[in-house]
Amino acid sequence: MSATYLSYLYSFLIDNVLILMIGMLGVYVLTGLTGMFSMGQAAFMAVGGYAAAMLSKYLHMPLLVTMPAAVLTGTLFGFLIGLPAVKLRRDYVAIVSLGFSEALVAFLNNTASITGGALGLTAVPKYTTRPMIIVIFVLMILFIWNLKNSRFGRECIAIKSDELAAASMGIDVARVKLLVFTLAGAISALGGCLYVHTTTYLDSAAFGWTQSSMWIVMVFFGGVNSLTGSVFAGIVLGLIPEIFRFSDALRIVIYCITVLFIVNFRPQGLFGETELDRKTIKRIALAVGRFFKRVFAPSQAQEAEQG
Amino acid sequence: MGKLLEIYNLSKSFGGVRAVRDVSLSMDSNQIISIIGPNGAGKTTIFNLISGVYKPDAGRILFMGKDIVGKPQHEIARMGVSRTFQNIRLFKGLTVLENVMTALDAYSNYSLFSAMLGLPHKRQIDKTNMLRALEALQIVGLSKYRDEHPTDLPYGLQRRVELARAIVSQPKLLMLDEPAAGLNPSELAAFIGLIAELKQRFGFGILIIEHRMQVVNELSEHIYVLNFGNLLTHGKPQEVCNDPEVIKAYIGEDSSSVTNQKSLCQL
Repeated sequence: MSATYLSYLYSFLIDNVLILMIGMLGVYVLTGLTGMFSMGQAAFMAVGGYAAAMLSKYLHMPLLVTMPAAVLTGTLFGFLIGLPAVKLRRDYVAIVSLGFSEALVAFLNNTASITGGALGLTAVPKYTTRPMIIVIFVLMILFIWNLKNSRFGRECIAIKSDELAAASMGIDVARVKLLVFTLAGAISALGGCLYVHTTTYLDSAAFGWTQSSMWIVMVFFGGVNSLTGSVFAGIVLGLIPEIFRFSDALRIVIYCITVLFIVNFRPQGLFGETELDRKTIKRIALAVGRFFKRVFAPSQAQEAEQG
Repeated sequence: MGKLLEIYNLSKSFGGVRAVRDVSLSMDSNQIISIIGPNGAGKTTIFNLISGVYKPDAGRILFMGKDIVGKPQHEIARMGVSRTFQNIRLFKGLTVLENVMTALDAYSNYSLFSAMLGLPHKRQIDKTNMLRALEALQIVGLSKYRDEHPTDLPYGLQRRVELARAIVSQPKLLMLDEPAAGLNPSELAAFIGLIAELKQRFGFGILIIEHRMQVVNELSEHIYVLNFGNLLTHGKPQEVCNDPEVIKAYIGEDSSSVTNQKSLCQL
């Protein structure tokens, strides 16, 4: 492994994996926490991406304008698609969102004069830097971590687990679902904005249902309730195809086998419901301490266990 | 004095099955009322009609004088109607403490942004709610299980988590759907004591569906008997369990030999 290869992997991790993972965080909130399947979440990323791209390319707006604009557009679309979707049973939500994403791609392809159509938009200004992406990524993780540990997080998990019981606790199920749908749209749109200002290029094909389903795979791979798991899975699954780039035919196979292994042997996902919080860190520290005791002072440890 | 709950001529059918027919019922606050009857008599359906899961075909339900028919479930819950379920419905993925806190979250009024930013007033509200939830857990004797996941607890304890979740918001009407099912005799005695203590302490009206006559007789001031969706009779425990109609519904038509020796009070 040469240094150039490592630095390439690093740039790939920041420019590609982290940005796409911001899109995934939308899926985490929607599918992981609330149990609604969105097969078209990438379309919200496209919405944010195109909003930012067109504002910066045609109107020469700075990032301070394009980013809020992208998030607002994502919020608006999330709300509009959420309105009908939250009234449906959760399996139909997947179909509604899939329909939306396919319709959006078709729309983008047929308005080639402003969106570039299937050829895409090129020469979008590059606004992002790597430290900036990392900071935004970490902030988003922090926000969602806080969200999970608030009344909204609990309400979402309650709704996922049992809608009827949730409603009988006074939770307005439809309202919370709509809120989450809107929020997920906003988060994914932010990812789209960063994406377009990093790659400086945007085409509709990148945001089809394959990207959306990839995100669902990541969330389930990591463990549906666990933000730690989703982030871990996002990084690992995002890097696998790149690490195994040397064997072009095999890398997709390796990816699929990894996913199948997890689904088969750990259906609750790699992390299940565990988060890397204070409690878990303490537990790990204790376990490591015990392990070292056993290795370096076996007799003492045995005495302690017997006594 | 205004009644806590009044039900007039309530009816509900599912397809061809008339689950509840023309049932009327009334209760005061600080009163324990039981609904008994054989399986399929429509007891749980009445709970579901009161809490807004189903909309009645006919009839009126007044809660503290207000008509609640047609209101969505969460609004009825926020008015002060809470319940437990026959087949325990705790939230998987939340700890015992979080399960109980969920019942208070609907009343917290911080916004999505203060939640995401973890602002001080959000933390303040969550902390107050956590203390209240801990208090409820202490009342039902589950403090040490606060960080467990409910699915890891034995059945009897899961029932108590549900009870804690139902009382933590200090409702005005508490509906318990077969709360003593699956409890052994000593647990049952403890449970009866707990319910009596809760009523004393919080003064809410309690509506109980139960098969175990011990619970019904020891706790309730008034009993309603349902059979095939109809209200068979209602009255004081002593009157009801000696009623030949009630015994017939419970034990069957041709059981004169049994009923001669026992009334339901001894079951």
